[in-house]
Amino acid sequence: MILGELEKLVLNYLWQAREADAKQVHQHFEKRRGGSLNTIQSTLDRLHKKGLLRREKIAHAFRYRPAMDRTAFIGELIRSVTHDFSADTDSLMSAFVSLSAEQDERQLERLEAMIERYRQNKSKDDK
Amino acid sequence: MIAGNAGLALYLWAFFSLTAVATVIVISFFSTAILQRLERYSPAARRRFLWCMAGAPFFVGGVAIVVTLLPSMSHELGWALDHCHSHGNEHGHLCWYHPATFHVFSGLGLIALVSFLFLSLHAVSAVRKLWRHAQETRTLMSFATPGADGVYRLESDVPGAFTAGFLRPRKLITQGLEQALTPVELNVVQLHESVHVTRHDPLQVFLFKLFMQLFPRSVRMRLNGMFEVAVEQDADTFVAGQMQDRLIIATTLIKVSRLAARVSPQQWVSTSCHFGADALEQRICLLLDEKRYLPFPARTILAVLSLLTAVSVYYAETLHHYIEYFISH
Repeated sequence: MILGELEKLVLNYLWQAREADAKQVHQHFEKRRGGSLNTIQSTLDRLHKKGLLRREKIAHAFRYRPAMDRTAFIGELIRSVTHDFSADTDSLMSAFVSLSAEQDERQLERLEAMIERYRQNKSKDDK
Repeated sequence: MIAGNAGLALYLWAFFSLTAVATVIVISFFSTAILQRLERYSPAARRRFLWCMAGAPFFVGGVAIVVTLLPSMSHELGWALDHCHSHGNEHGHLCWYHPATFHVFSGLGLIALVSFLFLSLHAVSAVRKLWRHAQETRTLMSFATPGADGVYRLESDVPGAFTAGFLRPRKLITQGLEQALTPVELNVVQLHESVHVTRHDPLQVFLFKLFMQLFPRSVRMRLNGMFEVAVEQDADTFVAGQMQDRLIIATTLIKVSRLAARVSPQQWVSTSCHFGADALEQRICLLLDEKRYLPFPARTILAVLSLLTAVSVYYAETLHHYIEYFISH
């Protein structure tokens, strides 16, 4: 998922405001960074197409609200960054544990038992 | 028909491609046996061996064209007698003095074209993915809060810690994970990620996978998997040395894995998850295993490579004429 600077700002604004139309978003950014209503409208449209905003037509204008909250969005971003480089390879980043791995509870229990045995043997040896 | 140095370059390219493909076939054929033997080596040594395997097609291809050109090059540099007179200069051959005429509509022409297209497509695809990954990382970083300890915090319940970025790798940790770990466990995670940052592991993994694109899918999957495990085990081994406690690393790995497994599967499911489950087990086994692993035999490898180079140079003239014979028949 790739976002431009203005897209990030608009998204941040909508997480705070919860809901707004293009005019309200434009008014907010006009004072801070300038830009036309058209730019804001196309930014909102792009965010909607990326699935990050929901919109509803009220009277003649669309009202936008975030499709997910900030933490869920960051979770999506992490997933996107750690997504596979190609169809047959794992991610490009180095994670402490593979975020894409399917760890089954039984396997974890077996590994824990292995660690416990090691710990017991070690304490026996130390005595 | 292409004559002159362009023709010579095309011959060299076709020869390079053929040698690289032959190397890939040989390595792929012996890959299972090689991988089994690699288990006896330390993670750091395994990494180096795997790099040797990934780079071998390019290295052997490069050496082959240098050796092929050596007779004519040594003549040009005044190290040897007039090489071309030795065979009457009656047919097209690889030579700096009499560049061969390259026939585009020939078997070699087809090989040159196919290999060029293959490498170009992979190069373009790699650049595109690299750019996309860089943009995605930049987007993620803009939502991260930098800490005084050099770790970027992410406002997410998803338990995760990772290193992202190729040229300037950075450690990222989610609040979900940070809150779930004790200070000692957090230290393990941070030290582990610091090793990835210092060694530029994300870039290494990317380049390794790029080199491996020459190999058949099944071989590529195994070698990529082994490389990733070696990278993680290498970091674990370093942290174990720093902390003087292997158990705490093993228990932290289990704890983080359990936390990650609780996250809804559809959020984390990957196109290839068969490997990750294995990786955790291998990492824990290495941490609990107290046997001594073999180091990378750098001197032996250097000696073997020197011997092979000396033999190749000695037989360069013969090899050169074999190639000429192959091209002209």
